[in-house]
Amino acid sequence: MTDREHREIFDGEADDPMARELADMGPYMRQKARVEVERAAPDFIQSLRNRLVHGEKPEYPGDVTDRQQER
Amino acid sequence: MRTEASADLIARARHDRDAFGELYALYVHRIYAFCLMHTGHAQQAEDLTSSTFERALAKIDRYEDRGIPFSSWLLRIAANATAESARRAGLGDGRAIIFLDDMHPRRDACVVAWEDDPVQWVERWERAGYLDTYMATLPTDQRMALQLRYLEDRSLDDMAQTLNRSPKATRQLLHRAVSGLRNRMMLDEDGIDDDGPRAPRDIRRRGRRSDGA
Repeated sequence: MTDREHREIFDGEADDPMARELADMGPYMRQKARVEVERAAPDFIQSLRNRLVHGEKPEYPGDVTDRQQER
Repeated sequence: MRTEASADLIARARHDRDAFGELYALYVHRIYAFCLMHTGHAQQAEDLTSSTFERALAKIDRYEDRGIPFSSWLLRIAANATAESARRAGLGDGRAIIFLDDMHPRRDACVVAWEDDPVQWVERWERAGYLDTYMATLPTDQRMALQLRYLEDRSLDDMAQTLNRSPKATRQLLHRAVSGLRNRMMLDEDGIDDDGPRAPRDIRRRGRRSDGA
């Protein structure tokens, strides 16, 4: 039995595309779930909102790459 | 799938700052989480969140709905802001940092690894959300099996104990869960199940490519 087969929980798991993607994304998804329960400080949220809604409209000319990626 | 802003709200936000405030409320936590994921530092995440929405406000006139959700547009702005911040800080060649494992215990520390370019950070983030959404539609035992195996990297024995099943039954359950997840995602992509969650076509298509389909 190869090392990969030894680590399989069900037959063919190592060759299953869905299982492979889950194995690849799993740690990232766990981390993502952790950061998603974190919240920015309420006063930050409110002060930024006030600035955006009532402050002067910012200007960001950006660069070509910036504009291409954000379209 | 997370709630997206309506076309009407986006249109109003182009000239109505209160409407932009509604967009902000809808997306701020998602953008903050994305920035926190890619910096590991709350203050930096706040700074980048501010930059993101300030840029979005400046650029919203140029936003066009071409089948890409507004959240994707915001995430790309956030990713670019993060990459620029990393470049200014002299971190490598400008590609920002991604946590591979647990959050670093020291919030002011930089970590771990480099990955590709900002557009791919967004794609990865969205793909993870897409997978998570579909996993949530599975029966509880199947969802737990996937989480234990792929998110928590538990051994078969650990899984069996947690799930209160025999190792053999746990294997079968995991196999059913993987198949079930694949089938649900493919059904939705084929447009057969209109009640399922939808994702941008490129996110779904990428999944099919990775599935070898």
